[in-house]
Amino acid sequence: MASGSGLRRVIRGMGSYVVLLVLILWTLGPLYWMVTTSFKMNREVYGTTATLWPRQPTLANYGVLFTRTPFPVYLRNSVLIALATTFLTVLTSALGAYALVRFRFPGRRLLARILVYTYLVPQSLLFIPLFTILVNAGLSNTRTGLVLTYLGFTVPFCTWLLMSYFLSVPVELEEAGLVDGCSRAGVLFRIVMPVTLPALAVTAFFSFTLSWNEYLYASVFVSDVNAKTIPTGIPSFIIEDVFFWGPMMASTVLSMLPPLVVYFVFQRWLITGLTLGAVKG
Amino acid sequence: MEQRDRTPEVTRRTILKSGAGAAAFAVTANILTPRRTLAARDQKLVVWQQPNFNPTADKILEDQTRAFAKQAGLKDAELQILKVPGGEIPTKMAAALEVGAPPDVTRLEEGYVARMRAQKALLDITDVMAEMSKVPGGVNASVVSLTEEGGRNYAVPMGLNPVVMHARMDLLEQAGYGTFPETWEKFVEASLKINKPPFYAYGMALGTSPGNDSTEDIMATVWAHGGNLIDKQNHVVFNSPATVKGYQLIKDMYLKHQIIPKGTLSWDNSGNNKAYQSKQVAFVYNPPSIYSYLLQEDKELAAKTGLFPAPGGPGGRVKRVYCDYYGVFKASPYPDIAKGLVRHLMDPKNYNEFITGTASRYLPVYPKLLDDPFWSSKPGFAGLVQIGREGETIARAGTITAALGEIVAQSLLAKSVQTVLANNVDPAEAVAKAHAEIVAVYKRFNEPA
Repeated sequence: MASGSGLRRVIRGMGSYVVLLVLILWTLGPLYWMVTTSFKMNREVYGTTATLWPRQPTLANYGVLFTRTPFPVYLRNSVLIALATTFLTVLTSALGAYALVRFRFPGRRLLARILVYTYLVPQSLLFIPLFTILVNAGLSNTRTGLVLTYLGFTVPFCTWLLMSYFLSVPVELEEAGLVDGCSRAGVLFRIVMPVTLPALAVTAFFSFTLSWNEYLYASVFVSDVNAKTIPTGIPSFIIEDVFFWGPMMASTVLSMLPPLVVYFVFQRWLITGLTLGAVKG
Repeated sequence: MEQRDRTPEVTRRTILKSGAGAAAFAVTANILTPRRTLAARDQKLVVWQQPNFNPTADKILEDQTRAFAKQAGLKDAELQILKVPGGEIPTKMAAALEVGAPPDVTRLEEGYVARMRAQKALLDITDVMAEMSKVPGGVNASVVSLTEEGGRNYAVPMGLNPVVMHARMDLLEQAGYGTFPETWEKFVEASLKINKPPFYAYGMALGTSPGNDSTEDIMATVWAHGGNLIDKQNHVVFNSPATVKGYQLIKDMYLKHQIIPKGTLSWDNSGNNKAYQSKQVAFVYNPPSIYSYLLQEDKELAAKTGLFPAPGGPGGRVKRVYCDYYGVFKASPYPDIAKGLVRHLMDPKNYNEFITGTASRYLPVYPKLLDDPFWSSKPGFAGLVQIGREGETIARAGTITAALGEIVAQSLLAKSVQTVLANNVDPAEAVAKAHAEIVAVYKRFNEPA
């Protein structure tokens, strides 16, 4: 009996490893293919046999990006837009969430619900009304327009997210601050925000990745090279029905790095933030 | 009681905080400063430029546009050239038209000309067309009708896209053929000698994704047997014994001779390109985008490639072109300057510089320009020149309309042929059904069928 259950355990363990292996391959396979393709010449990409490793590894595709395309401009724009969106999102969401959690005013609950509902409207339904607003405000083809657009998506969700975190901060802490002469803003910035740092990291990461990866709005609202972001620059490697895979994959590899760096830097807080509030005492 | 020291401490943390705050402010302030020059749409001439295969051609077009703007007295900030990849045009154009801010001048594909004309979005530019017609040798007549309505022109042709058989001449030679077969019968015969699965002879596009090459590939077999989509009066004439023979030929090539890869039914618009570029097939029927790619990226394969009209048959050998156009939008705040730009770009001297700069991506709409030494500089161009002189549109004797554009966009013919290949529907039955569907589209667009 004992050996039978041991065997079952071994088989179950092996089964788990097989499933894990498949999942790892499923996840890392496309990434591996993307990275290796970025080091292949187009001729090899279109070769008769698929190669797992570049036959003659080359940096030519990266060279093309920086010498023959406006990729550096796209990169600059993506960085500026993502940073501005992240900073403004964290600031606005924190202020909004704190007000909704701690202040008593009519319509507070309704406002909190509406915040969630706005996030549920499909993106594709909004791009023409938003474009109309941007054009009338003279903000189409500008980075400002994109930042404001993204704030429309990040702020409601992040406010809603922060509300639950702020609720977990004991009111007594804030009251102690107020008794010691701290203002409301001071309480928020000196007491509440530092203790909910992991939650702020999550909202920052969410805003950063959303504005970094967003394609639909960026492609419709912006045509000027000086305001284009990386996701809208990548399709320029498809000319009619021909795909220039090498430079396309090189730009994708480079565009993947900043979110990866952000994730690794804030990894500790992110994991804490994502699990914070999962179990309430 | 202990006295607290109230003197603010300057710590490393304070400095880091101040630095982060200043950096965040600098970034945000830079972005949030409204850029008047970018914002004021109504004070600019906006040109949407779609990338060509050749960066040289893109630069020529941009330089010519800037030179014109200077001549017209526009300041740099009053001209906006926006690079819009072809794939982004549908969403961008839909949004731009919805908010009443389309570009002043842009390149338009055939289907778009018909659609924009039907929406009354395009400006009457008959005067520009009239000037173009006076150029020695005139303009290729077959592509002008699409721009006309009530005797007026709402666009001008800017470049012919020949649809050509890209053929592996080295393999044909090995099979004992000196040149590309002139009939489908001989094409099948040669293909059977070349076909060695998984290497297939003919990468026929038969997918159903929007804008697929399939319609061209299918019509090539139909035309060769004497069939047509519409007649001179734009009446649908698809259901004919000739069309059925065309369908039967496709069925034989796919199921009986097996010279077409099985996977073509799921190809998208780039499927045949990839197949030829990766040397998995010997022939594909496509605009010379493939050849342009090879000239840049795979000169060895380019040297082995010949360009020819599709094989013919009892109905003759059709030389197929489609055309791109320049359109000026009614919403343009500078209609005269916008028209002037089109006039400038289509000036034969400027135009020839651009067309030869595209290195065969486009053929000139002025047939006389085919006499330029450029078109005899490569043996592969001979087939292109022939198509440039005798090329016909998909409507042939008829006119491309919004309904016809919709039929192509929907890949209606590919869906029909797929029922023959995948569901074993009889070709005659499939043709009759496709005919009824085409008529239904024409009726939906209120066009006589």
